[in-house]
Amino acid sequence: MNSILKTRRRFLRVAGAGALLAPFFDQLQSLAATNAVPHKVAFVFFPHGTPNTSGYWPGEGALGSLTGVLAPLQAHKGRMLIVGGLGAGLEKGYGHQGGNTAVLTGRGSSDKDGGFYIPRSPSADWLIARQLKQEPLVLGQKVSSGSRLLISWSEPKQTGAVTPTNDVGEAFKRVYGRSATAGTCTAGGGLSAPSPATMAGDVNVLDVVAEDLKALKAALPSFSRSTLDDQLDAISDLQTQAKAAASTPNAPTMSTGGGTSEGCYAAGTSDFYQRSNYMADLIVAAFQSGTRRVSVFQQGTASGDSFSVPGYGGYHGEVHNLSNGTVGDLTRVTKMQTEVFKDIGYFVDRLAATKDMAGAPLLGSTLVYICTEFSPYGESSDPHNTGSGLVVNLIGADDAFATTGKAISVKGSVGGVLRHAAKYMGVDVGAGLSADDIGKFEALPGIAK
Amino acid sequence: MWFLGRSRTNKRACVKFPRTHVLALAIAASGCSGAVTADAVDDGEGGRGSGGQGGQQAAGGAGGADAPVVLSDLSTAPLAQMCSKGTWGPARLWRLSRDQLRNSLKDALAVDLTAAQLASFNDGAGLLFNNDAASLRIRKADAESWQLAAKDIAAAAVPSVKTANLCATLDAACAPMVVQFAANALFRRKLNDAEQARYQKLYTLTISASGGTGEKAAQAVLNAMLLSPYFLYRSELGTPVAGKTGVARLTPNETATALAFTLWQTGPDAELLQAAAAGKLNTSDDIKAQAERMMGDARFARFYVGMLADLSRASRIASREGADDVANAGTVMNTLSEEFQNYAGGLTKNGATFAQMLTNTSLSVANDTAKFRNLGTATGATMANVTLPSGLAGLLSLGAVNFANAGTDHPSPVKRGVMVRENFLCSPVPPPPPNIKQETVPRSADVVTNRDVYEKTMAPSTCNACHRLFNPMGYAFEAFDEQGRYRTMDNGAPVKLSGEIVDTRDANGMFSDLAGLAAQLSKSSQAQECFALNGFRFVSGRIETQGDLCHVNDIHAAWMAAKGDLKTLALLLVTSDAFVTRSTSL
Repeated sequence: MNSILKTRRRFLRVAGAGALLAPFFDQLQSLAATNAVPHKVAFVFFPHGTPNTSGYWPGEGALGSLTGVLAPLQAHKGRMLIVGGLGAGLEKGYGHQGGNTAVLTGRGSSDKDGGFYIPRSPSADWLIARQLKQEPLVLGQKVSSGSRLLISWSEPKQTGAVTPTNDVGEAFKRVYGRSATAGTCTAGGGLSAPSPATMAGDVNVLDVVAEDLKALKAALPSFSRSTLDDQLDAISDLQTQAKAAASTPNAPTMSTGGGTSEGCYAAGTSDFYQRSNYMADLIVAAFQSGTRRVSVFQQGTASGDSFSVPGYGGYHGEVHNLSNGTVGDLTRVTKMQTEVFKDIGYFVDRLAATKDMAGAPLLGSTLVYICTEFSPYGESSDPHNTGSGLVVNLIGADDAFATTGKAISVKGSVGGVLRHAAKYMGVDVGAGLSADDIGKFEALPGIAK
Repeated sequence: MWFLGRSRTNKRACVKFPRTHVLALAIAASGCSGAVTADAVDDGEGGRGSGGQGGQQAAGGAGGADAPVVLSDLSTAPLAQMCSKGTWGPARLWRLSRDQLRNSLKDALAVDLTAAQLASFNDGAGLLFNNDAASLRIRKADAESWQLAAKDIAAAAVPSVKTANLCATLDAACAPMVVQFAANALFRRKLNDAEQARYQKLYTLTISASGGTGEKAAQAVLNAMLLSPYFLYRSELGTPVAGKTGVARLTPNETATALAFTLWQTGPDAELLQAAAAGKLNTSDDIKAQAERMMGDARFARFYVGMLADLSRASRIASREGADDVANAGTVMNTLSEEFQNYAGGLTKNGATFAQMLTNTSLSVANDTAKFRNLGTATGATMANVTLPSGLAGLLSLGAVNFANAGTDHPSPVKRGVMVRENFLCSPVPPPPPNIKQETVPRSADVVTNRDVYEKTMAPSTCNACHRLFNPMGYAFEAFDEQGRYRTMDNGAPVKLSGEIVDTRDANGMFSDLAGLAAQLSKSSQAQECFALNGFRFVSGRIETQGDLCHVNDIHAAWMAAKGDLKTLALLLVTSDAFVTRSTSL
């Protein structure tokens, strides 16, 4: 009886999540049309910052061996540009949550709805995607109590950022327009991604539906001819999506390590790494399409929840305790952040190992932007207090940087980095927005090529 | 169950009572009159349910979705004085409701849709009925969600294709048969040549693809048809009527479909389709013959279950504010839903009249349900005939009706009274004025019962000017708590059920209890006209125009000649010219 109630609530929640489904592969320029590999941007963000002892900011100059939390990125240091000295983007007065968090994820302040934060501002992916006139897939994740991950993506024709969900199966559907074939939770089991032939079958189905829609619309009286427009629009997008997937080479392998099946996730596995890697796999899969893409991949909560990477807990509280000087257990905080960077490293590794549509490493056409708050004040300082600075790690993208393999210090704000990313995507992210919306968009010298 | 999954898309935040100790009260700033449009709908406690009615005249309800919607006010004049001949409902597409989607797939392809699959689509958000055509649209997100669901549904439907024994094997040569089978099941008609070629091509493409099989080809065809507007919408475009510019009559196939989805809430059966193909649905007599046949089928029970669930607002049981907080909510709602279906679905089977619907003094109900409702002591699922306690009667005594029309944690005379006034008397109730709030009078030695609280709180003339129109009717329902359980005491004091109907054409008068209220309604010409009008709204999926009122008036007159027989009303509604005639030039 209570379980029925719970089921109903879940049903309503699922229904809400279902309503958010939107096509992913959009009507962007195709490889054939432009003879160029579409650019992608991935924002990887973890909130609450990192202390200066973590190794996150190696100091200005050429990069040597990456140590500390950056160690998992060592293989890619030649593609990296680490930018320090930026403002944290606190212009809106929401504290640290209203700075980077709001800009990157659309989340701000502490309003919650059913345990989820209510987005209060445009997010980076949306700002760019809006200018691309696409309906973007925004894959991201959040770690909360019990190592649950939350995925967020934008809604069709969205007018703002949306509430994340923890249903990873929905993320899969969002990428492929169909459900994954659930595998087993044993080694070697895993998700079965649809083959290009399968997606081609979907194209055939959608083509027939589109013909029906057009024929029926033509038969409608003029006063009701718009009745089918939304459905036509949806089918058109789905056609584009399916065609892109059908023509995508190098279909990703979702099964990694001990097996990463949707069924495992649905069953509530507490394996943080499987979930995190799975999310990375989905983003990489999405980035293989013949479209420009932008995603947000959030590696932690804005506030309130624990970050219980196996073996450690209370990330949020631990970070705050740094400012109190009472616990000051930098070792534990740094170890937790090390785990985060293992996942970031996995993501970048996958981008490097996966071929784009021209057969080159996907990382070469993808700008990865890793960002968190940063404390320059030593062990006892709260890394996300209002005086925090900002460091971003920019990785990848053959043609995105003026220089790589070094760390530079630049005066500016997070809006400047966003401007750089938008420019890489070929759009003006600030068009139609006031600077107050997401901070300042001034150019950052020494970054762009 | 019919109520699960229903939701009100236009639901607004409710003013909670007495949890918040604040009520928004309706004030008769303009003498409690005036037009009430869809925008004024409010599910809140403050004097209105969401079935807002009002205004003197329909103004474009038959038009497009953007036309202003105003309901007729039968308290001021009878139908005959309000109607104006010469208009018809619009030619249109009418999306299947969730119930119709579920029923038609179950009946045609033996597929049971899951709640999540059904959730791809909204229910209609009309002022009264969930089958409101203007709001039953397919939004972009709906289409995308349904696209995912359709793959699974198509796979589940393939066995039906196989068991139909269309061919020795599902090979390429079987394409024409598979396509036509699927079209009969989902499009409810034969395909034209272009469509047949299109779907056969899909079949053959699929079967010839790498790894392709006949089953996959059949699945692809079913998948495409499930996504097609020819399945998701009922066509009411019609063909031009000779000599009448801008007027069309439904094609025989459209008529068959309309009959099936109206009377059975599912697609047409083979006999209907055959009648359409043979030209046996062109006249009123043809339609009558089929309708009478259909009324002998058990599926006809869905007609009054659907209509009365919306009319009494029982269909909102799951979306009522606070419903989830009721102990054992799922079981309670299922139980009350079953009771409602048994009652409403059994009316025509038993040859009931409008009066009997309102005044029956017995229920056929499961022992467990009767016990939950304090109407019996036996337990178990066995059905039993329960004689209602003195003072109770008919439809308005059902648990689902009283549960759905309740406050968060207390009975709501306001919601219950508004429901009766708006939906059974077609008498307008304006929405509460904005920004008017009244502190709830707290319980005390003089304010003991729920009724006391309402009476004291709404005693000021600014409140009572409007609340007198419905609160006194709502007090008759104080025999039921917020979960629909019968009670004789409230907070240690006897419940008082007496009240009064005011400001109607012919139902005015005092009553002593709910049975008395029901009896007054059952004899009222205004209530009878209102029921016929609501039958029209339910059958047409829209709000009436002035021209419609003439048809409704004719239907009402014929219905009264049949002594208010419910089955006859349904027959009159589907054999009316309005059922098959459409305007193509709005």
